[in-house]
Amino acid sequence: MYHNLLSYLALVLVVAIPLIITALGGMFTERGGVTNIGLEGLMVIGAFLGILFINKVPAAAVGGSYVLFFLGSLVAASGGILFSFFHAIAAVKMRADQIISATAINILTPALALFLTFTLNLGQGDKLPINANPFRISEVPLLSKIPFIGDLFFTNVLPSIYVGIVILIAAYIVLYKTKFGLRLRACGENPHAADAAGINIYRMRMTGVMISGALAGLGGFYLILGFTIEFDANVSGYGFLAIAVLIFGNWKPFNVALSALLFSALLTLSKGVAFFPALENLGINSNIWSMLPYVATIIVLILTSKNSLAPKAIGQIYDKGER
Amino acid sequence: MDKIKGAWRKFIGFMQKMIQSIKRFFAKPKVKKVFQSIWIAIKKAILFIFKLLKQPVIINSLLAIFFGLLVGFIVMWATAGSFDTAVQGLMRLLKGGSTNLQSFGNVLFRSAPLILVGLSVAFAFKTGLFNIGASGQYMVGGITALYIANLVTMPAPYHFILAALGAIVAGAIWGFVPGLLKSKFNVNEVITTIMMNYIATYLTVILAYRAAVYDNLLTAVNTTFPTANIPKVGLDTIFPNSNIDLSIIIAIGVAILIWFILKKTTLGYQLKAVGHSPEGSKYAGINNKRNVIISMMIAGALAGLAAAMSYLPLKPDYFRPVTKINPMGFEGISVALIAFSNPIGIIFSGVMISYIKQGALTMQFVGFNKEITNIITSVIIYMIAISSFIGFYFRNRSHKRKIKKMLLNKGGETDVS
Repeated sequence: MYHNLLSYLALVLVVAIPLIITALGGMFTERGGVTNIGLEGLMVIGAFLGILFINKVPAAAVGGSYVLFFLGSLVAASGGILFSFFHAIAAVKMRADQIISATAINILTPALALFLTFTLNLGQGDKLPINANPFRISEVPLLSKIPFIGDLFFTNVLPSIYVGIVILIAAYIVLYKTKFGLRLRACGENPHAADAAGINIYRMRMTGVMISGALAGLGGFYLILGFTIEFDANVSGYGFLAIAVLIFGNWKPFNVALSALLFSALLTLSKGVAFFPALENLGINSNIWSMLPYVATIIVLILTSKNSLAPKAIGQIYDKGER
Repeated sequence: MDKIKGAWRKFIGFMQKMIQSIKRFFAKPKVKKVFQSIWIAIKKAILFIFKLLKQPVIINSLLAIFFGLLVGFIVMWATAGSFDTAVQGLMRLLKGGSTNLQSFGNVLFRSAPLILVGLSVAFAFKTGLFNIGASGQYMVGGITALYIANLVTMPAPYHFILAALGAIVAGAIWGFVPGLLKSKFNVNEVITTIMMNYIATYLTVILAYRAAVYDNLLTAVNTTFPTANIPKVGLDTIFPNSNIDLSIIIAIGVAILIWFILKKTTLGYQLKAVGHSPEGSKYAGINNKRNVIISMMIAGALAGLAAAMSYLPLKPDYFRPVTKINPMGFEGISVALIAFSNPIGIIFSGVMISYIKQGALTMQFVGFNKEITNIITSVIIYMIAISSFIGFYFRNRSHKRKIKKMLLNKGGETDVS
């Protein structure tokens, strides 16, 4: 039983860390007042570039597999930044409909990844193979001896788990303890007042969107690395789920992390039932287990709609001349 | 050292003389005039292009399509590494659907569902709703149509009509849920429709695997139901050997109907008012909540009908139980946006998307993946998203310049209205 629970929770963490990272990215853009449903597409491009990088660059050339992992993460994040820039400039500077320009990214990046993989023969057909094993940390000395926590967090894990925790804490500090965070939040709540106070709304919002691009790219990379052995330019809607996680987490970093854990527990249920004989014996179709998180999302959204703390100016185009 | 210095000085002197002579050359009144007039002509040409750009929506669409093809071409050029291969790829893309009447008939045949899904997205757009859920509505519509086609026995035309109606109702129900949630609980329809997509995916997988409809050899839902097939109504005599059937006529008819509803009826006016200004329409006594639900239901119904058009023909799409969201809904978004959500425009944008998709199928022979169509459509969508800004920017600039000129001509008078 202990081992079953442990392997289920490990599976939950594999999904939860990328979700947390991506949802935190969503938090930065939405707190600045720009919606970004392009997170899905940004995850795809991050995953594509990151996987491509770690596939093509030998670990020995850069000094060990962990350095390669770190560099791959950087590549994934910068890919996300590059493509989120298109959304940022359209949505912030050019007053485009934020949903439409983000949709363009969602259509572009999977197509681009598939096209490049196929045309340049980067993998097998239009799929990229993935081998995450060299990056696994088999055991962290001392810490892995702690009961339960040691088994879950410090034995046979990907480094992404630590990156995720660092990002979570950093996101909290940046958003609540720095000048930048305060200004960003002001842009999302009352841009006109913020503008009057001398804040450059456009620059703030652009930065917010690009942070979301970096984090979504990173999230996509970690998700694909931990979850599958083959990448076909598809992150199974986790970018959209990250937005639901964000809404459920009320746009606050630690709440977002908690709701991501909850969602991941539901998301992995269809695979996780195998670890729990009692649930498996119910004989419920696995597709119903798979459906559950999405039904739960809708119910949760209904329940939280009454006391939602959404940024006030979210999705609104900022126009200096408007009164 | 001195030698070098001397040479350097000489060189400098020579350059100064050169510059002076060039300056003198351009200072000549005749030359100046010629260059000025060339410069003005270029400016005029650019202004003229943007004058067109800011005028009718059609030009915006065409320019966006042009940019999309341009970027697609550049991507092909960059990946293939040779200009010729990229040109070949582009030619295949552009010619693929027009080699003969048969393939053009197939283009029209494939465009019917695209037009209907595009109408679904566009209709919700007009009410200020973003229907990403067209995929889900399409899937439940499709499975309902297939169930009716497989399990009900009926004479020929009625069976098809019943199956299509079933698809419409199923799609409408799937659109009703996000509409209700939006109006009752103010839950963002973007998220709920995405969630409904996933629920539809898993639900249809369960339903498609049922022994009553599943065909093991086909690994898809059974497709032989002669009485429920879409009638061909003799269109295949115009486009010999093609799969064309009544669906394209239905799609065009529905597009005209939607145009009529939006343009000429009270319901359409109310829906547009809600989309334009929720507060204002509320003040005018329009029932916002009811209109949101109606709009989503009609959008869902259209997506459902689209599914009937692609799963019921004699040569249908296969309904395979895969746990992936059907991409049709996203294609619908492209179709709607390219036409700026104009129902009549959607007929053309639907045919266009279908056309380049047909062309892309033949591109694999020169080593390109068919995904290039999605790259192109995404660029088109992006250009359309920013087109109003670009038009506005140039209009604003030319306006400012006009004011400046007037001020100069009138010697500082402030009468610039």
